[in-house]
Amino acid sequence: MPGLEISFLGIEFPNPFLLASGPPSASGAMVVEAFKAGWGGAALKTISLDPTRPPSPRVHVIQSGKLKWGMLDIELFSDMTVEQWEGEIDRIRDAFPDRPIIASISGTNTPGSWQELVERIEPHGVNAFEMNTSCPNFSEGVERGSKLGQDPETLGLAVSWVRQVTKLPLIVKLTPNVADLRPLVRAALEAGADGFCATNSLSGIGGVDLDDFAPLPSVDGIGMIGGYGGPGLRPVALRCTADIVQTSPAPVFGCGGISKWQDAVEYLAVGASAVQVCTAVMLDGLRIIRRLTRGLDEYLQSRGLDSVTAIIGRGLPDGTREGLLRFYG
Amino acid sequence: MGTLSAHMLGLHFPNPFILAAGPATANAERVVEAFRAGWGGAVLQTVAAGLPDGWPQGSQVIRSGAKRWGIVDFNTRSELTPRLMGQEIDKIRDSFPDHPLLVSIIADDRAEAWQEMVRELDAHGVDGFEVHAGWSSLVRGGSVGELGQDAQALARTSKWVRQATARLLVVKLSPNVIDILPVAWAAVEAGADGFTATSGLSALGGIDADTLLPLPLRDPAHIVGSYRGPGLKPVALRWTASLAKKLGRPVFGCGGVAEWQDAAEFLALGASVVQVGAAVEWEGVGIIGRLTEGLQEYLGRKGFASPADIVGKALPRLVEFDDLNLNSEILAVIDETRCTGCDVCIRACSSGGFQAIDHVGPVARVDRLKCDGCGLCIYVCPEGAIRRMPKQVA
Repeated sequence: MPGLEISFLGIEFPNPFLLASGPPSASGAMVVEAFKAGWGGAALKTISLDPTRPPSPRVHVIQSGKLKWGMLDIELFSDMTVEQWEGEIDRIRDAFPDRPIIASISGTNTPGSWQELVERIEPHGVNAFEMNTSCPNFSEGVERGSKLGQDPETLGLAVSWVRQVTKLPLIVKLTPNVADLRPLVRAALEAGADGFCATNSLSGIGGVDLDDFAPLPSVDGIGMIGGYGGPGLRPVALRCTADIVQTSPAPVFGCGGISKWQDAVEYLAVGASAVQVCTAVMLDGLRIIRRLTRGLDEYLQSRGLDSVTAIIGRGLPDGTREGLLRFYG
Repeated sequence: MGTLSAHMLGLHFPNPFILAAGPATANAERVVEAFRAGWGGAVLQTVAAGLPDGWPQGSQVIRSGAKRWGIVDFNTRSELTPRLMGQEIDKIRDSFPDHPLLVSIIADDRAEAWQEMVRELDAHGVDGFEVHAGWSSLVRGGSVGELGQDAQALARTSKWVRQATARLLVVKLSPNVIDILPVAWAAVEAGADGFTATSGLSALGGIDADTLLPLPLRDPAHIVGSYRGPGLKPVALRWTASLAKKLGRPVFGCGGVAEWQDAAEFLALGASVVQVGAAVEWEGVGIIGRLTEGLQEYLGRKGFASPADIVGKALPRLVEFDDLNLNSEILAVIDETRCTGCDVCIRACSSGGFQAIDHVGPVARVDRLKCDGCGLCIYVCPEGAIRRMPKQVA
């Protein structure tokens, strides 16, 4: 659909709906299926040098009656090694040479842990890197995930390490678990980041089993504070998107609770250039891409707009929108 | 039969459900009606001193079709001066001399503003004060910053209030922080007796699809509001547990309580009493009947004598990732007598799981070699036909 194309940091997406880094992008085969279904791109499940076995079970769906408005997960990164991922990326490239692939990566508080990932993955033909500095599920005292993304100086260092070894577009996926995103945005940009993804999940507790008092999801009778995403996150991630674009005109992927085309319009209106979807795919399947693209296309046509860029930043003060639009010519 | 009464901060609550500060506690008439309906106590709507006029007003319900899971607004405040709120307190006390009654307060960053207000209210029969530390900081003239995001400012404020009253001092904390404990400690050192966890998440109410302007005000200059209701619950549960586990001070759980189960979760994670806001605004004070009946029935069925028996019960089971038993694995098992072959689980497992479920004749069946035990399919099955089973047993 012509009006849905979007250029993000020089990467051409056929439509603004990407798979977010997570269970739906956990293997090459799943990403290939997503591209066949019509998804505009994908951020791969986060690759690290020391994959961890995931807990079982690892998701809990939060609902009121039949309405599923949240999901809590307690996993970390992909359980596949970087060697395995190199093969998976080749497999996606064989089937889809041009569809944008973003490699989500996560290291520790050492340069090598990030740089080795970049150096091994980049030759396989990804279009960008997305730094996961926002997974909320690491234990206290472990300098990983969101622990790296809650302090400007720490975040800036990690971004600079990745920047040293790649010229590809560099996106930072931010955590909403902070008082103020703006110092983090500035630190990341100064260190060489090109764009952002807003946001990863909120830290939360999904519920409690009232028979045995285990937090949910319950792994052998015990549980933990996990990552809360899905529709319940959307009002927060929308606010974070607006905070970022009002700090800098760098492009932003909106991420959090998108299940309808209307949700995507909300993110675009507060300045996102494209959106990433995870929970809705897990609950309803890849096929939702058809109603997302068709709905957005009809909306644009009904308003006489010839491109999604016409919506970007329209909910923000005029000056902010003008700054953003410099990115889209 | 056990009791529903609860004790917290030296107060006796007939049951552990009280009204949160908000439109439902705007005046004596509403609070008296709520107490008659059976509510266990109330926090009166936020009385403000020294704030600028023209505070943004409006609220946006966060919904999907007819189902609601949140409200974004701008922290409603009372229309009443401290003196007039004092008169409302007197009226409540005429009818209900003993129900626990707190009053929510906010002021600008001046000792006189806080203390004058507190002294005025203190002369009436209120049990204590709840400092609204989630109030956004238009108060202090800044663009970011709630009182509850700034340990020093909160300590300063708590000290001022402590100097002006001998009554209880509760702080309603902000969830919009990296860690709530440093802020809470600062308040304790300044004299706070307990906490409410939490005020609303900093959020945007949505976008109007016609004008593309931010809701509810359709004004690009006023985007950020406060998000409460069910969507806040996972975050409020998390902070309640952190406070209960590490601080050891009494906590009111507050965020999205609409059913007795929500309250039981807050209690199990360490709250002593819960506050209810959005659900009362949506459904009226009558919901107290189903809340108390449901909790009473649950406690009786489980053999607990009172709500205090479940307070903190889940905390020993709340661990960190490194403490989980990763050798424990489950498999999904489909009850083929209940499966209607609708495909919902097949889609979910295919797109967000491990491609482990497929059609076998008219029903769906799990391939045990492929199933990774993530648990997703159990939630999506509309028939409730999928359950978990330990892998070892399977």
